[in-house]
Formats: sequence, structure tokens, C-alpha cells
Amino acid sequence: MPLYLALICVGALLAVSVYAIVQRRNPDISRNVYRLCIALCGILFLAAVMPRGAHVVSATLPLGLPWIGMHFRIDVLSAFFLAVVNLGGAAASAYAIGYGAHEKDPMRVLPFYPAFLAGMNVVVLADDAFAFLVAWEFMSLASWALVLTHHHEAENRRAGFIYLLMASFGGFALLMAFGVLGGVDGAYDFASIRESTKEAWKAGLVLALAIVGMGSKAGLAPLHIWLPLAHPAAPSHVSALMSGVMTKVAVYGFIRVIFDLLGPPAFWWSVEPMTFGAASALIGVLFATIQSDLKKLLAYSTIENIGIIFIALGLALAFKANGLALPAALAFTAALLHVFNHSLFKSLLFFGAGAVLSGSGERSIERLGGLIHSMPKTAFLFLGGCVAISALPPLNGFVSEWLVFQAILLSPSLPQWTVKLLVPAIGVALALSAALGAGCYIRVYGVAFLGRPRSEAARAAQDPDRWSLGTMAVLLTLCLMAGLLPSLLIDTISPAARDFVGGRMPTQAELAWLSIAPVAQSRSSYNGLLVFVFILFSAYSAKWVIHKFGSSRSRRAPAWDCGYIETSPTTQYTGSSFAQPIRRTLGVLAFSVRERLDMPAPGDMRAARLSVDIKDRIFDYLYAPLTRAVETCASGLNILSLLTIQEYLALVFGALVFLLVLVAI
Amino acid sequence: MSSDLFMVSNALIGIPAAAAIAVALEPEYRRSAIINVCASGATFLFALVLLIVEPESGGYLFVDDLNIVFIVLSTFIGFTTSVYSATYIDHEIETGRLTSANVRFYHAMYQALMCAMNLALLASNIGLMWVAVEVATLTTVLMVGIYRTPHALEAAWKYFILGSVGIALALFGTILVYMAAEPVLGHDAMVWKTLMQQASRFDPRMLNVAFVFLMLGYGTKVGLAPMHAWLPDAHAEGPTPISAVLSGLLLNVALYAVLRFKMLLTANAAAITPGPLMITLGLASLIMAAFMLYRRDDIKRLFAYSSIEHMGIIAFAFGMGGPLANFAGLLHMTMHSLTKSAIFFSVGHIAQAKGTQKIAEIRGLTQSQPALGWSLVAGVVAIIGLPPLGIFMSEFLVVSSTFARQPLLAIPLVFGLLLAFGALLLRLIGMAFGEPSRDAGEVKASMLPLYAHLSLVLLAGLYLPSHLVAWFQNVARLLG
Amino acid sequence: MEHLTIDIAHVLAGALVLTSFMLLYQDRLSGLINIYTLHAVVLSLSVAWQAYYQDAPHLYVTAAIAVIFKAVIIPFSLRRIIERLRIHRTVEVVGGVGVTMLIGIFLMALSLVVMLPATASADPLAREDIAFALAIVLLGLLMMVTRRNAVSQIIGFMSLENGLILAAAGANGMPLVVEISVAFSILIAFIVIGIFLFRIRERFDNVDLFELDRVRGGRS
Repeated sequence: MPLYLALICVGALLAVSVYAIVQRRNPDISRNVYRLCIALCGILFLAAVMPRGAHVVSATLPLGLPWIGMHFRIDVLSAFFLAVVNLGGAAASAYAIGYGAHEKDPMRVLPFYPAFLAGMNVVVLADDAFAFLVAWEFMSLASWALVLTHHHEAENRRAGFIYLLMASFGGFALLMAFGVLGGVDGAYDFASIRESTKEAWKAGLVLALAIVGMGSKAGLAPLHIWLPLAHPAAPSHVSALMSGVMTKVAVYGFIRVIFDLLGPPAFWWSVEPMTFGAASALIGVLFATIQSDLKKLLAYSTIENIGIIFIALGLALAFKANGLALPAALAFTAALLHVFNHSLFKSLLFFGAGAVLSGSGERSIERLGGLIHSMPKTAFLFLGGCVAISALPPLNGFVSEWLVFQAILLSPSLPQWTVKLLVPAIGVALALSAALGAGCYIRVYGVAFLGRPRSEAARAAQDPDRWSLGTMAVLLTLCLMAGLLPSLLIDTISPAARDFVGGRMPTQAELAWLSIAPVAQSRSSYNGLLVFVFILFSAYSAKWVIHKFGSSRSRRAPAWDCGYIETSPTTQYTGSSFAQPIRRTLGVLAFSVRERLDMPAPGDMRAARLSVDIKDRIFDYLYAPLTRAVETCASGLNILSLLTIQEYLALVFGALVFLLVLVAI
Repeated sequence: MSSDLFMVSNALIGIPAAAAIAVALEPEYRRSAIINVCASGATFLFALVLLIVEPESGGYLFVDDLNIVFIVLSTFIGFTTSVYSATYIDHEIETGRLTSANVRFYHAMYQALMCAMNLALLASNIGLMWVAVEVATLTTVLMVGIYRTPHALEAAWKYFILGSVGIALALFGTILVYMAAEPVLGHDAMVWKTLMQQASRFDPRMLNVAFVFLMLGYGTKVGLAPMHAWLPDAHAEGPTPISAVLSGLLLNVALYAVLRFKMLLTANAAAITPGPLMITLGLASLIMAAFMLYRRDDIKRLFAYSSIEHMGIIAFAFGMGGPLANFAGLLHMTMHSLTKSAIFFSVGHIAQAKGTQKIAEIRGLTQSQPALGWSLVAGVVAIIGLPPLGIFMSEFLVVSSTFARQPLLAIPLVFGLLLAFGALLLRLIGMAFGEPSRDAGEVKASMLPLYAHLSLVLLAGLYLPSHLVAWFQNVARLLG
Repeated sequence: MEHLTIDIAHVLAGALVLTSFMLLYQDRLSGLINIYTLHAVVLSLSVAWQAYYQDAPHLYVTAAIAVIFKAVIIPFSLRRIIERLRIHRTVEVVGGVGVTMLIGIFLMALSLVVMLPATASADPLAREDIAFALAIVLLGLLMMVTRRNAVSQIIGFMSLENGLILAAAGANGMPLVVEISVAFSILIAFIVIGIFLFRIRERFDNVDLFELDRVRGGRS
């Protein structure tokens, strides 16, 4: 029943796409489409959380490969991701009711938006390789069209190109992975794949291909380059979907293939996800820290969070391979919890960025500032998102990252030395990225929302409409709830952990006062509610003390100007200043930074200039040579199109003689 | 033996032949366009009748599971192209690029081409098939050169020379097949049916040499590298409906011949397996064409190279053999024909609207010509193998089955596919998006054939009717 | 008697190959046309001998076509063309005569090596005939590859077609339809080439293929 309901809703989403095209002249079309999307995502969310009984539900439609059909299935894992997708989808649609009104050419968004939602839903429902890949590529295709919404800017066109090319690269990797799994006879349905035997080399191949395929979509370094280009290019509600939700669909694919289809793991499977995860976490956060484009920054931060999720998944593999069911369940739960949490706060932050963009027209934090005065509501909600993503209690980001750390602390129980040595190093990387992540968001908030406006646009900015604010408020509330009541979520996830890693965390609902305890209460536990109460209490008591003994009224004074006369807002501490220490210390290593200072001689009245070039080394060392190689080959081979008829005949003649010689001997 | 069948398959030859004469006698170009459409439509209807009539053979024509797929496809595209051609030619006459005498000739050649292709597909005799392919070549040569510009003449000349050499090699191969079969079959040694039944008794060494000639000879017409050189120019310089017919039909007809002979060799256990040769030529075409795509600045040449690329994929799939790969090859061929002709339909009108074929001067189509622009997007998205369109399904099967059987062969295949993907996507984004470039004039586009093709491709990507599947599977089994 | 018949057939086929070599060697256009006439005559003799030997009267038709069409009409019109275009000058040869002849000998050897084992079971007449025919085909191709001038390329192509006819005639009892179609297609081919030559002359100063290539002007 829930499955059929879900499939009908997917069909309805596609119908909404058609409706958008048919009704393109209708002035209300934008609202109508988004309303329909909210409704359908809502139903899909209900279908995901609807009790399914003990059974796994499956269905086959006579579509796709004729001798296989299209298989669909809901189990605990797909239900969880279905909920994540549609929660994000409903939120983005609700936000877009207001935000979409700013769109100049809505017909470049409306037909593709519901299709994008439908694609993501089908990926999590698919139960055979063909359906999975069709949905997967369809999702890429629809989001590609959305990335090209503002196609007049060359940068966006480039983003669209790189995005779809990378998506297709990943798609081919998955295609080959499924080719190995499906075998010579082409048994592509997941049920037969599960039953087939996989030799070690096959498993290794599939693992590598899955990392490449799913990783390229999730934004795993070094396949992440499209993400900071494409996510900012799309309209903000689509960016939120791509960053918050679509990357999670890729995580789903990874779990499905590695934890489910590939059978019992070997311990070395964990190395790849953990290493690439750690690399992504670090690269993501470092680039986020030095970015000044708000949406680009959020995209880099997504890379970081995907890294954290893959670290947790790698840990779960390592524990599972060694039969350590409880730690495996802990790591797996942490990963899924982080998936859920990240989808919430990343959507919230992108909505905030969208509000800033539509309110001020600026994406660069260097030209913002003081938004807390001009858009106070957005500022508050954005602050919540920043706190959540920086993994500060009592919000939800803390819980999942804390659980990942708990899992890392259990790694000494692993028998293999490789993993035993690797995991602490990963832990260090994770700690570093968590700290840097917090620093990164302090920078964003401090530069963009606090201080004084750096531009007229920032001064004149306004809070967005009710729909946008309402959606953000709902998301923030959900973040808070997930932070305060993680035990409910953990218990919801535990059936998935049971099915996929063969163990479950202790039932958290039995613990008193809504605490959570990853292994046992005697070892470590966390109580979000308690922290929340403590924070509220100390904050209010501080306020009380200050107001009691100090002044009871807030005063505004001019900014301290070091004794100089003129203080333009440009003298404020900027985002680049904030990032400078990190850029200087890690610049050479990670970003190949070049700083050029043009200091006029004394007496020269010209302004001094400091210019900073930041390059992505991965782009320079991996992608640029590839592009050059293709260019060189293309130019070299191009001679073939300029030959004379005679030379073409010579080619044919040569081929003929060569083959005759072959036949003769 | 059913006499109805003979009426039907004779009609497939007779209608176009009669129409060619009728059109040649008709001075008014609009009326001749109508005759052209009607004759092509009638041919298509008769081809559909063939689907219902029990396939049997006899005389000089025969119908079996393999060629009926080709026949229906080719008459369908012949029909839609004739519809498209009517509007296209109208515009060419209005802008003075063609005179009505040219058009009279053009329509006569169009029908002659249809006749020749149907004959090539239906012929029960390898000699007759060869004659038909030769005639098809000559008619297209004349149509490619119809604009009489130096470039068009050069393209036609190149096509003619390379095509004649190819066809000569194919004839030599045909003679060798006859000589291999003659000791066993006597004077019946050119009839498909008997050839196939007795194939295991032929001298394998003779067959090997014959296949080299046939593969290179008919391979020239398929457009496989290194014999491909005629193809881009012929596509680019002729009228666009002819580009659509070349890519959508003529390449298939040549491919059909190659497949027939491949079956013959497969049936003889002692002969070389034709697979490796087809795989090599296929991969060479795919990768060569994929690289060439990057340096194109003419929109029709771009898609002509993409045809070479896809013929490479198809040859590769048939070279791999086995039920999955053969099925994929047939499906890919069908989908490629439909998609590529649809792309040429839109490209033709785009070139008319923008007054140029230069890619650099075509920008922002989705804004300036939304219908054409989005159709081009849909067509290119289909041709680069994205779902939910039909080519995705065949590429899925080719790549995954190849990777399961011969992982090392799958790597160059995927490499080539990705290269071509990148090149076409790059050009597509440049042409379809961005600030629109200046229009040269109004164009009454005929969108119906375009939509028909695209919706068939979309449908096939999601759902293949079981009849079609049964057919394809049957043929895939025949191909071994 | 049997031996003598076969020997005569082989001598004729061998003469055809020899004429092909002469074509390859000849570097003046008018000389080329003369040798092509010889080529066609030898072909028709060879086909006629096959007709006699196989007792296949329809082959006499083919022989007659070869004489009338290829040995008379075509050389005549080719001469007209080169006179009208004023290209009696020397044919440029790409790669040098010596190398070309060496390659030609290699091709001859190759065709024997390829064909003799393949035709072991065929009747002895067909055996060598088909090997010679392959050699003529390959030599014709070689000529097309090494010559720059369109007229000499056409002659190369036509000598290639002659090889095909020799093969078809040598194949025991091959149905008439093929011979006619070959002759017919050559007719069409020639007409088309004629049209093209005419057009090309109209557009360009001469029919040198390099001139044609010059109009490309960096198109791609």
C-alpha cells in the first residue's frame, strides 16, 4: 500500500511537470506547481513513515527492460531516505511559493522541479539496476536543467556542463558496477544480485566503482569539483534540494550497493570510504572557510558533511566485517542521523542564503554586513542553522557528530592493524574539520549579519515573505527537536541498522530524561534537553545579573575607530581577513594560494592593492591535465578531417591490405 | 507461399518506383512534394501490412524477422522525412537556394532512393542487394550535390569516389561468397536462404577473405572508421532532409548487409569469428569520432560525426554478440535512427532560422526559438544516452554486458562514450542557452515529424511493447 | 586440350595483370588512356575465352560490352575531356615509380598468398583467375591512391572494375544478373563522373583533386 501510494505520487509529480508546461501562460502557475509539490511530498512522506507491518513491500511494473520489468520496493532504508527526500522536498516547495515569485523566467524552473523531485524519489524506491540508473540519471538531467535556469551567465553554463559531465562519469561507473553485479546473463534486479556470489576481486571492483559513481554525485573529493559550481548556480530552493537532499540520495545508493547488494563485507572495504571521507571533510571545510560567496561556501560545507557521513559508513563497514554488531550499529546510526540532520540544516542555510540574495541581491559576504538590523528574522533563523551545522549543542548537528566520535573511540576493538592505525588519524581529521567548520560559520555569520553594512544593498535588505520565513522557522524547530529528542530518531533508525549491519543500538526510549547512550549509560551519554535547559538558564541568569547590576537599557555607541576620523564600513574586519590565518598556514598545502601585494612607494598617492589568487589544486593537477590531453588529442586527430580524397583512399587501401595480410597468415 | 505477401513486398518497391516517375513528370514543386509524401506514406502502410502477413519468401524478394525490422523503420523514417522535407524545401525555394527544377529532380531521387533501399532490404539474392545498395548510393550522391556550390560538389565527389570504391570491394566480396558456395550449391549460390542453410559446408578460408572485403566495402557505407571520410561532408553539404535520411536509413541498410554476412560467417564454425573485426572497427569509429566532435564548427558536421560514433557503438554491440548485446545493438540502431533524424529535422530549421550552420553563431535557441531549441535539447540529451530516452536503454545493455564479459573492452567503450558526451554537451549548452544570437528570418517549422520521433524515443526508453521485444530477441538469436 | 584451355585463360588473366602494371607505370595521360584501352581489350578476350570454356554464351555479351564500351567509347570520351581541359601534360606520381612498382609486386604476391590456399577446393581455372583478379583490384586501388589527377584516378577505378569483371566471369556459372549489373553500374558511374567532371571544369581551372581540396578553406 505505501509503495503504490508512493508510485502514484511520483506519477503525479511527473504530471505536474506536464501541467506546468501546458499551463505556461497561467499567471498563478508558479504557486500552483509548488503547492501541488508540497501536497505530493507530504503524501510521500506519510507513505514513508506509514507502518508497513513486518513485510518488505515490493512491486513490479511492466516498464523498462522488458524481460525484467521495473522493480520497486520499500524497506526500512528506503523508507528512511524517502522521508528525508520528501521532508526536504516539501520544505523547498513551501519556501519556493514565496521565493519563486522572484524568478524572472519561471518556465525554466517549473517543469523541471517536480521532475527532479520525482527522480530522487524513484532512486530510493528502485529495486533493480535499470530502474535505479534511469532514475539516477533522470535526477541529474532534471537538476541540470535547473542549474541552467539563469543561463545568460557564462559561469552558470560552465557549471551546467561540468555538472552533467561529472554526473555522467559517475553514471558510467555505476553502470559498470551493475554490469559486474548483474553478471553475463544480465540479472539486474536487486533480488538476484543479492543472491549471486561475488568473488573478492568483483567486490573490490564494485566498491571502487561505487565510490566513484556515488561519490561523484555526493561530492566526495576529488570528484567534488562540480558541486561548488552547480549548487550556487541554481535558484536557492533548488540549491537546497541539491545540497541537502540529492547528495543524500547518493549516500543512499552507496549504502544500498555496499551494505546490501554486495553481501558480507571484508575489513578492507572500510579503507576507501574512510579515506575519501576524511579527505572530503578536510578539503570541504578548508575551502568553505576561505570562500566569500555565500552559496559556494554552503556547497563546500556540504562536501565536508558528506565526508563525515562516509567516514561513519566506513567505520560501520569495518565493525561489521569483524562481527562487532554494536559498534557497527552505532556508526551506521550516526551516519543516517547525520544524513537527516544535514538535510535539515543545509536546507535551512540555503533558504537563508536565498533570502539574503533576494533581499539584498548580493551573494558575496564581503559586500554584506549588518543584516541583523535589516533582516532580523532571517538573521535569527540563519543563526540557528549556523549553530546546528557547527555541531554545537543543543541542536542536532552535535548529536550526530558526537555519535561518530563515539564510534571512532570504539575502534581499538578492531583486530586489523591497518584499520586500527587508520581510524585515529581519521578521528583527528574529523575533529579538525569540526573545529574549522564551526570557525567557518562564525565567520559567515559575523561578517554577513553582524557589524555594519558594507554596501547600500545590505543596508536596504529586507526580510523575505511569510512562506520563506515560515519554512525556515519550521526547519529550525525540527533541528531543535532533533537535537533535544535524538533518542526518538535513533530508535527509528535502529531497524535499518539491524537489517544492514546486523546489530542495533540499545533502545534509547527506555533511558530516563531523554538521554542517549551509544553503548551503555555507564560509558558515555548525552542529554540534549539538559544542555538546552542549562544554556537557557545560564543565558537568562546572565541577562538578569547584567540588567540587575548594570544598565537595564541597551545602548548604541559608534564603533571604536582607533582614533582615526573617518570610519567607513570597509574598515571592518572582512571575511578575507578572517580567513587569512588559515589561508596563510594551509594555503600552500591545500589551495596553492598566491598573494600579491602592490604597495606604492612613499609619496605615491595610489591605493595599495592586495590580490589573492586561490586555486583548487585538485582542479589544477587532475582535471586541467585531462582537459588539456583531450584538447591535444582532438587537435591532433583533427588532421583526419582535412585529408585529401586520395589520402582517405590510402586509409581504406591500408586497412584492406592489412586485413588481407592478417587473413593470409 | 502466399500471393498476398508478394503483392505487399512488391508494393514496397513498386510504389516508390512509380512515384519517382510521376514526380519527375510533375513540374509544380508543391504538388510533387504532396506526391512525395503520399507515396512515402503508402509505402509505410504497406510495410505495416507486412507485419500482419505471415513472413514468407520466394521469387527475388523475401521477408524474415531480421529485415522486417529494418523495413518498417526505414519506411517510417522515409515517410516522416518526406513530410518534413515539404516545409524545408518550401523555405529553400523561397530563399532562392533551390529552383523548382532542382526540386523536381530532388523528389524523383528521393523516391528512387526509397525504392533502392527497400529493394536492398528485401532482396533475397546477394547480387541484387548489391545492385540496390549501389543505386541507393548513386541517388544520394546526386542529392548531396544538389546545391551546386563548390562545397556541395566537393562533398558529393568525395562521397562518390569513396562510395564507389567501397561498393567495388563489396562486389568482390560478393563474388568470393559465390565462389565459396558454388561447389556446394551450384547456381543457387546467391540466395540468402540456401546460403544460410548450407553455410557450414562452405570453404571457410574463402569466406574469411570474402568477409574482409564485405566488411570494408559495406563498412564504408556504414561510415566506420577509417572509411568514414565521405560521411561528414555528405551530411553537411546536402539538403538537411537528406542528412536525416543518410543517418537514419542508408547507414542502416549498409549495416543490414554487414549483419547478413556476419550471420553467414557465424554459421560456419571453421571460419574466423567476425566479432573481433567488428569490435575493432566499432571502437575505432567511436573514439575517432568522439575526438573529432570537439573541433567541429559546423552544426551538421557535428551530428554527422555523432552518427559515426553511434554506428561504431552498434558495430561494437553486434561484434560482441550474444543475446544481450545483439538486442542492444538492434535497439540502439532503431533509437539512433529515430533520434538522429529528429536532430537533423530541428537542425535544418535552426540553420534556416539563423541563416548559418556555424555553431559559434548559433546561441540561445531555447529563448529565441523555444520549440526548436528545446527539441534540439531533447534530441541531444537522447543521443548522448540519458534516460528516460531510448538510447539509454541500449547503452545500458551494451556497457553493462560488455563489462561483465570483457571488462577491458568496456574501458575504451566507456571512454569513447564519455568523450562524445562531453563534446556534444558542450556544444549543446553553447547553442541552446545563453544570450540568443540574431535571427536571419522567420521559419515555418514543421514540428510534427520531430515530435513524432522524439515521443517514440521517449516511449521506447520507458516501455517496449512485447511484440517488438519478441522480434528483437528472435533476431538477436539469429545473429548469434 | 584441357590444359591448354586453362593455360590460355591464365595467360590472358596474367596479361591483364601485366597491363595493370603498365597503367601503374605510365605517367602521361594520353598514354594512360591507350593502355586502358588495351586493358579493356584483354579483359574482353579473357571474358570471351571464359565464355567459350564454360560454354556460357551470356558471357560473350559481357565481353562485347567490354570491347564496345570500355575499349572504344570511354577512351574516346576521356581523350575529348583531356583535350578540352588541355591536360596532356605529365602525370605527377606521388611517391616515385620505383616504390610504386615495388608495392605493386608486393600486392601481386599478397593476392597469390591470400587466394591460392583459399581456393584449394575450387576448380583450377577459377583458382588462378581469382588471384589475378584480386591483384588487379589491388593494383587499381594503388593507382587511385598514388595518382593526383582525377582522370588517372578514374582510370584506376575502371581498371579495378575490370578486375571485378574478370572475377565474376571466372566464377563458374555466376548468374547473368551480376555481369549486367556490373556493366550497368559502370555505365552509371561513368555518366556520373562525366557530369562531375563537367561541373568541376565549370567551377575549377582543372580537375586536379588538390584544387578541389583547396576550396575547403579550413572548414571542419
